[in-house]
Amino acid sequence: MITGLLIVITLLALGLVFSVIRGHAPRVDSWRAVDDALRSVDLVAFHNLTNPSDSDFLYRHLPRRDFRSVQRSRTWAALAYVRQVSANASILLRAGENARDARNAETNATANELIDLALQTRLLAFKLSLRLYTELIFPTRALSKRAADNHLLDRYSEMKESLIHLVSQQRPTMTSHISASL
Amino acid sequence: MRLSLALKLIWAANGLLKSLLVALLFRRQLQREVPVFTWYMTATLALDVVMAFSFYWSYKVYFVAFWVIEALSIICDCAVLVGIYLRTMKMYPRIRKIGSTVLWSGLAVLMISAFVIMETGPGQDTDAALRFLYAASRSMKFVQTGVVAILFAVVGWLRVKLQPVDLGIAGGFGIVAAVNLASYSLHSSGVLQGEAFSIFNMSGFGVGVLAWIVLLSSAKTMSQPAAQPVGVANLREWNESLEEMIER
Repeated sequence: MITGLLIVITLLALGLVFSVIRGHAPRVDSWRAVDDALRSVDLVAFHNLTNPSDSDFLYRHLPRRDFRSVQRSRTWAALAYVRQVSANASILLRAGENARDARNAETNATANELIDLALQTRLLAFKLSLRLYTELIFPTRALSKRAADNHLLDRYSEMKESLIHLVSQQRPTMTSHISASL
Repeated sequence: MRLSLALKLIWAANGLLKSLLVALLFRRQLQREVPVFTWYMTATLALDVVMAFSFYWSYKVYFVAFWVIEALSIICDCAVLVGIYLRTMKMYPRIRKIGSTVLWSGLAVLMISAFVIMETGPGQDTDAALRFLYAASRSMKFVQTGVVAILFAVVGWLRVKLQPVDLGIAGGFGIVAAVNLASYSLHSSGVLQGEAFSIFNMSGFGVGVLAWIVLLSSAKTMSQPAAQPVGVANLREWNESLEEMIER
């Protein structure tokens, strides 16, 4: 049994090594590539989905069984948004890393700020995903509260501002276009 | 003790590959960027020659030297991997704390698990000393593979970038550690014995060295300028921007 377990661990470790060596993050070596890789996230829709008053309303007006089913559907939708936020953060992290190589000190500082915010966004997205998966198993009214407590949207908005600042320094003509992609 | 032709060939091939690797490290002047790895590889190459002589001179000396070097090299491998991990985290101040917590708590879990594995699956060797040595080695290989897994899992999870040279070194260690762990595990269960075990183990090391050669020969060094930072020195983008502005 131990041998089997160790062989599985070996295969998992090799899989991890090869996936990182192959580079599973999208290549973003220009702002046009960043623009192509980003997928727009409807923050208003996500905000509505996790609105506490909506959850309360559903809880009061639906039978418990229907409520749980509706909450599960809302949680799946919320998870899709969180995954997209996280994916966009990883693209901006890579873009920030590339821009960090610039010789301009101001650009360098903005790029570092973008990297910081992208990492924070990914960590918050991970935490919220774990909570949402728990919510899928035991649906409650807490979904909205959990999403609000997480501050994911705040961080995402800050990251967006930082990106706009960085693009305006490097490629001003693309600023509005890229900010719309988020 | 006599060696089969297959073992002699693999031993010679490994020595040749390691010589190529050391030559590559010095040719690309990587000893400035990764001094510990460069001198470690050079030292192991020199030790290989000493080991080859000791094998034909006295098997007892070879036996003791082999296991001492085996233990020391696993400790050095882990130290190099932990160094790469900490250097990567240093580049991202925001995750340095969580990164350190993951590493040290992960290492603690690995050490406890390694001890449990050693106690619960001692292997099938009839000689008690050999049984202990193989079980201890397997546990140490388990810790080494675990360190590789922690490094690559954190890098993959947060999507942070390993420096190309660090990626090459860690990738090679990952392959060697994983193949060694598999061979020691199969040995303890009785599937791989004698020469088959040695061939599997040494071939795994050869593949790892080959991976180092491939990854390090193409890796960009820190002294080389970045190929094309976003928005900088990008003539195509610059021209497109100008065209857009003219159109306005």
